[in-house]
Formats: sequence, C-alpha cells, structure tokens
Amino acid sequence: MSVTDPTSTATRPLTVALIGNPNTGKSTLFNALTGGKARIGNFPGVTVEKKTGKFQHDGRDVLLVDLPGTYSLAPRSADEMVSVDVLLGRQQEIGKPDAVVCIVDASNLERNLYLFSQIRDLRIPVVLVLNMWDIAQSRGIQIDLDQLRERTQAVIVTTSAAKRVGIEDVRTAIIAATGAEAFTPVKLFPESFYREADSLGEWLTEQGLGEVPFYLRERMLLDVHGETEHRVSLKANDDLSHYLKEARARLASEGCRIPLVETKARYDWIRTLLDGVIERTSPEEQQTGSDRIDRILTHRVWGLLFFALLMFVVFQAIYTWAGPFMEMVEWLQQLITDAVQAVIAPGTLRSLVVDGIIAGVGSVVIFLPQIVLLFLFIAIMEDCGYMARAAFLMDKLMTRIGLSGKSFLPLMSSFACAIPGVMATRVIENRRDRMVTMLIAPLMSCSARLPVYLLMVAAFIPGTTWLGGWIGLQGMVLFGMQAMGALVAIPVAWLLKKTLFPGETPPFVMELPPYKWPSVRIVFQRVYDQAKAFLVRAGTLIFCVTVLIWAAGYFPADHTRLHANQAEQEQVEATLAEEETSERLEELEAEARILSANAIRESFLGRAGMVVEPAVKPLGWDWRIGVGAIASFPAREVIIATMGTIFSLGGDVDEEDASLMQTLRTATWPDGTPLFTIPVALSIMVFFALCAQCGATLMVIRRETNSWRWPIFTFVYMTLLAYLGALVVYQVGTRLMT
Amino acid sequence: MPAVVHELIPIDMLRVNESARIAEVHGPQPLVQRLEELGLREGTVIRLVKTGEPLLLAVNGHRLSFRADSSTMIFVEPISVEQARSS
Repeated sequence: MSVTDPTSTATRPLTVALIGNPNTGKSTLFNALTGGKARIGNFPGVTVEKKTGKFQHDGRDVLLVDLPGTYSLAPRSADEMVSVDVLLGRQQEIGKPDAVVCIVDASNLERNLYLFSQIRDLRIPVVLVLNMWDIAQSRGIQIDLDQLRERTQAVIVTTSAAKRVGIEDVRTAIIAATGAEAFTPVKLFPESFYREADSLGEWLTEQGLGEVPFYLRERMLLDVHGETEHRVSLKANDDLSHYLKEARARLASEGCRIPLVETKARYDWIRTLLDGVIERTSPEEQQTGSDRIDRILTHRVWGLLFFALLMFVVFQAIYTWAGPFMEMVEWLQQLITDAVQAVIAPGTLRSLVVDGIIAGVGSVVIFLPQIVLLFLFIAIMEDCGYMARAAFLMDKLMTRIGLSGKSFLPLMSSFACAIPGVMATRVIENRRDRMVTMLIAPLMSCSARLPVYLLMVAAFIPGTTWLGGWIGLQGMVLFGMQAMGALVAIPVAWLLKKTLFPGETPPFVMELPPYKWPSVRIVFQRVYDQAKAFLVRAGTLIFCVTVLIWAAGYFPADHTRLHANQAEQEQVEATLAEEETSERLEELEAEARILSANAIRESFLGRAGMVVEPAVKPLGWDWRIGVGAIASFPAREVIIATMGTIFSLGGDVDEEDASLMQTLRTATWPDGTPLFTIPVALSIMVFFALCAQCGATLMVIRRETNSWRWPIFTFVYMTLLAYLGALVVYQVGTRLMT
Repeated sequence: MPAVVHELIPIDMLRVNESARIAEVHGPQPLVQRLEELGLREGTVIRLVKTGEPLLLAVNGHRLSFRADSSTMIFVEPISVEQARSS
C-alpha cells in the first residue's frame, strides 16, 4: 500500500486514534510512538481523559489520540460514547481521524478481534497491531500473517511494544493506511437487520432528528437502553424507545435476536477468520508461571495473609525510608528561613514570609517523600498485575457487605487520593454498587491524611521498636490509622446497602492479567505525575489558604512592640558568641512569647477561635486546633500549614529547632499544661481519618452523581462520624491515661 | 465404554482442572453481553483453575475471575469423560 496522493494532503497533520482492549499494552505503544510526551486534558462535557501526543514520520506530522481501553464499541455510558464520537469524527476538537490503530494481544486474538470487527464497521482505515508478539511466540502460538492480511484486508503490524520492537513499522503502517482506501465492511448481520437500520434512518429524518451515521443507527438497534438510544431520546421523548422496541420485535420474529445477534455474528466471523491462521504448538492446558504464583497469592488463607503483610510492610516502609529525605527538606526550609531573616527586618513583611509562607507551605512540602513512596508502591502493585489479584481476594469480603470485587480497585486507589478513586467507580456497572462505593471512597485513608498522621505520630507516639528495629510502635499506629477508614467503611457500606441502596450482590467478572515485572518507565511516570500534582497543590491552594490564615492571625493586633523586641533580640544575639546567653536575651524571649500570644488572641482568627473552642474542647482541642480544622475544609493537609502558621505567629517557636513538630511538643494551654497529649494527638488523627475535609472530592462526587445531594450527604455523615470518633478516643483515652 | 451423556451443569460444579464447553449463558442482557465480550459465551472451551467464590477460569489462555448472582447462570458441558464428576 502506498500514499496515493501526497500533494494535496502533505501539509495537513494527520489525526490517528489509538484503541484497544485493556491489558494489551496500549499505553506502552502510545508512549513508544510519541516519545512519552503526552498532552492530558478532558473531552468537553464528559470526564474522560483526553490524551494526545505527536510524532513525525516521512515528513508528516501525526496527532495520536489515545482512547480509553475498552472491550467493545457498544457504548453503555456517556464515557464510552466518547470513543465512538471520536472515531466517527463527531468530536469537534479532534476532527475525523484519518486512520485508527487497533492494538490487540497477539496471544489472545480470538477475543481481541471483537473490538476490531466493530471498528471495521466504522469505515475508517485501520492498522491492526498484534502486540506482545514475543510472548505469543514464546507460548508457541504461530500466526499466518499473510493469510490474516488477505482475509481482513487490513494493514497488520507485529510489535513487542514493551521491548520497543516494531515501533517504526507501526509509524510506517499508519502513514500507509491513511492514504489507502477504507474498505467496505463485510455484512455480518442478517439482511433484515440492515433493512431495519435503513428504515430507522428514514424515520429519524422524518422526526426531524437529523442525519444519524449508519454505525450509530446499528448501535441504537443493537444496544438495548444503550447510550446512543439514550442520547437521541433526549430530543425525541419516548417515541424512539417505542420505535426501537417494535423494530427489535420485528427482527426477533425473523430470527434475528437482539442483542444476542451481535456477539454471535462477530465471534462467528472471527472464528472463520482465524480458522487455519493460528496454530498452537504447546497445549493450552499448560500451567503458566502466573498460575503457580496464583496458587499462593489467590489462596483463601495464604493470599489474604500475604495481602495483609504486604500492606503492613508498605506502611512501615513509608515511615522508615522517608526519614532521611524529610530531614533534607527540613534543612532546606531552615536554610531559607535564615536567609530571609538575614535580609528582611522584623515587621509585617517578614512575618508574612516566615510565619505565613515558609512555615505554612514548608510544613506540607516536607511530606513529599512519603507521598512519593506510597504512590511508588501502588504503581508497582498495579503494573505487575497484583492489584487484580487483590480485587479477586477482596471480592469474598466485599460480598459480605453487599458489594463486589469491582469496588476494590476504586477503593484501593482512594488510598492514594479519593478523586481518581471516585472516578474509577465508573467501572462498576451496577448503579447501586457504584453509589455505595463512591460514598465510602472518601473514608479510605488518602495521601492528604498522611501528613497529619505523620506529624502527630512523629511528635507524640513513643519511638519504641521491637525485633531489632524492624517493627516500630510508630509504624503500627500509622498502619492502624490507615486501616481505620477502611474498617469504618465496612459498617457504613453495609448500612447504605440496607437502607438507601437495597439490592442483591451483583455478579463479578474480571480478567487477571499475567504477572510481569513492573516497567520502570510506567511506574516512574505515575509517581512523577502524582508528586507534581501534590507540589502544585502545595504551591497554589495551600499557599493561598496559608496567606489568608496568616492575615487573619496577624491583624488587627498591634505588633510594634513585638517587632521592636525581635529587632533588639537580634542585636543582642549578634554581640554574643555562639552558645553564650545573656539575661537580657532571656528576658526579651520571655516577653516576646507573651506579646505574640496576646497578639494572636486579639486577631480575627483568635476571636473566631474563642467562638469555636467550646465545640472542640470535648475533643481535647484548644481554639488553635479548632480553627485549623475548620480552615482545612478545602484540603486536609492544610491543617498542617494552618497549624504551622498559627503556632508560629503565636510565638511558640523554639529558637533552636523551628520545626512544627518541636513547636507542637512545647505548645501549652493558657494555664501552662501541655496542649498535646497522646489522646489529643489520637483524637486529631481520628478526626482527620473520618472527616470529609476535601472540597475537590466533594466536587467530584457532585459531578459524578450530577446532584448536590450526595456530596452534602457525604460531608454530613463523615463530619458526624469524625466528631464522634474523636470525642470517644479523647474521652476514653484520657480516662485510661490517668 | 458407556455412551457419553451430554450433561449440562452450572459452571461452579466443575472440578479443578476440568475442562468444559459453555452451553448456555443466562442472565440480564447487559451482563450477558459483557460476559460474551470477555469470552464467556456459547461454544468457548474453559478450564476451571480454582473453585470457590469467585472462581478462576482459564479462557483462551487468559485468566478470568467470575462469580454469578442468583439471576445469572452459566451452564457448561464437561469435556473429559474420565474426569466426570463423582458427586
């Protein structure tokens, strides 16, 4: 095949769509083709990620559009509709694709070609990529490519994308395919079906519903209550549903049963297509390496034990490995503070920079190492294939509370962040299940809670260790906190399932991909994206809240005496040699502490805090923690920043070690008793484990449910749980300690 | 040797490593369609890898986990006569 008309189209960039079943190496191929440089956005109106990339070949610019992984082009939801819209050129932003690359797993052609057969019906030039060619060959699968090319009339390329083999061939094939004639689809269905599709077209035009592409008319007939029907129905009321019902009845009477006819016709086509093309030299029955691993990892006892142990190790590791990196961040923060103090004289500006920005943002950034480690573990578990096994194991437990293993993946990713978790609930077909999963997802211990736990644990939980330092009390408390949300979610889910969303436990079907070594590139990419998102949030949202909190805590008190005091302190310090102290300096320090404590009490923040204090006192909190908790409504980790700012403004900062941890250890009630005790630290952690302090998650729930009712419901039930939980922990804890 | 009796049994009645051909798939239409897309359809030969809930199947060299509900049922026809069910 050759480029037929190079002159007219040579200047225009080509648009090429990439589609394939899940677990076929689609993302790997996308990255290999585009060199990993992708632009991520959203398709207008829906929440499907739009990933595009560019490459050049033979002097042509190619825009590659990555479509979501799917088993079929029968749209059941608005999200699945996006792929069909892109392929039919109905996505304005992208335009009609010049070709589509359909990637399939060469070792599983029987099933993967189902999607390919639907793509053929779209009348777009197709490049069929048989990926994982090396694996297919090592399994003794022989494919007669020439025969296959002849029978499908498609451009076929073989690749091993993970090893970067055959990528150049794909590029060449894409250019070749775009110039080729699009083949006319083979008619797979009975003639009566096509007649019905034609008359449907006429009927739609009569109804003034405009021209509907042939493929979409086919889909309307084939997908009972599918997305195509739903979308047009919005304009045609119930008339369309009635019409389709009658049309399907007419077809059934002629022996063409909807929707059975589609799977049957397509699989029959595939069977004849592959007859004599594929030869398996090694028998199918063979036990694979994955099977041997699965015998242990999916075992009802060993599997669960391994899972629990793995989780335990992960959280222990997060705690111990991140230490040195955190010290580096802390050191850097101190360096910047010193530099600023050397440049800016005591006053409002210095207070804004040191107490507001550095103390606030710095106290959040310090947790970057831990967050990177958590995402690293999740990315590795996902990429090596273990996540699917975990879902399989969890299905057993999930059915007890009326959910299925399908809910496991969204809940597990909620351990990193509830936002992708809530979005991932889309894989759950059952609406009731999806709702329940979505409403409990924010209870999972996300990475934004991690900073709160880490700070409290490091500051107030004794560093006792056992077994030569391998198991520590701090790590165990951290693990307990991480597990608590999930444990609380169990009765919550059970209740929701009994009351608001009653229904039977839905069936569960999921593919377990073979185990493989995680790809460094993919794992790195995911960790990098998440780390970047975390830092961007620290630099924007948290920065803004921090400055606001600082202002509310600084004004309207009079700071002239305090600033004069600070200036004198620095003068005195300058005259002293290192390690030397003077009475005057100590006097000044004591005075400064009283001055700043008074200043913050008189500020807007302090006044608001006094109002709040009675409500949070039963939790063991003073007004500063209370104000911090309220100010952290936009995002949980803000509590760290606000506490950093409030306690720094309040003058509770130790001169030797300005870190927030030290500050909190020395913080006191007005009567001088320590503010933080172990029960107070636990009560704060429990509150943040269960509360819904995350504006972004609530917005995502609103978007996904299309109603304000559910985010409000989530916020109310979680806040109540959080308050009660913190209350019980503090009250019981205090009684046990005394 | 006695004549082979073609008997249809629910898929979860298979024993470990027993192979069978899927004969009928019953259930709500959208689910049946999804199952068929995943390869669980009439005529497919499957092998039971692991019993229990959910069970683990080998389908075309791939592994699927599957658990039915009361409205969904897959009937299969065991292939190997020697391994006919004992119960």
